[in-house]
Amino acid sequence: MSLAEEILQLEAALRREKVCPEILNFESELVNKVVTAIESKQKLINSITIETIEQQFETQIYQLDLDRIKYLLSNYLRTRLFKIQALAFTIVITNKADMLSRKELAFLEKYYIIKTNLFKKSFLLKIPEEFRSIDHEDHSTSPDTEPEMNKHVFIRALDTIGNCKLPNGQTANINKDDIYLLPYSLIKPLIELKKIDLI
Amino acid sequence: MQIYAEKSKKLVRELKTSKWLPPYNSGLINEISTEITELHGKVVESLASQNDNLAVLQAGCIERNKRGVLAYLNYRASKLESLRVENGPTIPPHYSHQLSSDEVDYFRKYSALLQEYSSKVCEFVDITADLVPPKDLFIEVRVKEEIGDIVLPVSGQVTFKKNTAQLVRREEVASLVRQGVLKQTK
Repeated sequence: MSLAEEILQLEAALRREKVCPEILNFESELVNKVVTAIESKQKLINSITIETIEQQFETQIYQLDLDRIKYLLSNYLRTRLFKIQALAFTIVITNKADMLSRKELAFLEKYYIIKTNLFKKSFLLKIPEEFRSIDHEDHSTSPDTEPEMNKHVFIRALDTIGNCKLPNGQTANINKDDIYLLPYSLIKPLIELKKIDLI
Repeated sequence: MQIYAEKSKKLVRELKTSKWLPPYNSGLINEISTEITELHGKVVESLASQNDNLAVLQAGCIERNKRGVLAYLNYRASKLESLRVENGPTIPPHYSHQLSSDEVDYFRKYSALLQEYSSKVCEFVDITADLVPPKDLFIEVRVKEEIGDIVLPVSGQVTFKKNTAQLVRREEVASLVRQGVLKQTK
């Protein structure tokens, strides 16, 4: 796969992550490739010795291009981090940790500790011990707002899917490249099968 | 008659009264904690006198109080997190007295954690550097507040005098622009 294709894929991954209410699988292979590409390109740019105005101009164009790739990568990682923070308690309680990369998991673990410490110091230590826990299995007392699974999302079919039963009783005939607005919970399994893409 | 769980409602409502965050209300949190301890005593009493329905109701009040305070703290923490990402690792002085000392501590720890994650992913990428897609390598900025001499990683020493305009590398001054010290003019 060329870098250009990887970048298109990263764009798609970012779009999916932005739209989806819950956390998606980390695109580890893709991210690794892009990180390696960024590192080698940055080293290359840093090693150019600028002698003429033309060379300087050229390096600046390379640098800007690279900055835009960096932006894409950091936006993807940042979007995920924000979701992990918002759903930290839910992820820990429901054991969704395998969706995260190892670095994200390390982040989550530490994040969970400093967050619970804040709660403890500011409030929980002041109330009777029986009520201090915040990670019940039914997360009735978890401070997170749960992901809105019935949120409507735009989808594009990557494949012909055929008839699909909608919550209002009607059926929709989804063909390849069709675009629909549907509740996320309904089409979740199709995303995992890579039959549709979120847009 | 006293109405329970009113105070936690008031606490959560307070969040809406301010553009950013209202001053940390430790007094009200302490009052709610006392109310919870009081209710706990009543639950034990009701259970002892076999008044189960009353006990369930009282326990419900405790949970509601707790939920309110946690929501309050959680919302404030998330505001601090966005502040860190948008504004860099320092709390602006006019924000700092809205916060409790625990919150300042949380901000510092969170800031270090974010930094650690960012540097682990890739040494050349700072995940909080560009929040909007970069268009130019150099940007023209107008200096809104006197800074004087500072040293930037690539450009070296730069002097920012108030009300002057300069052409600088975007990535080096991104956080200053977001803090409002510099204003992008082009």
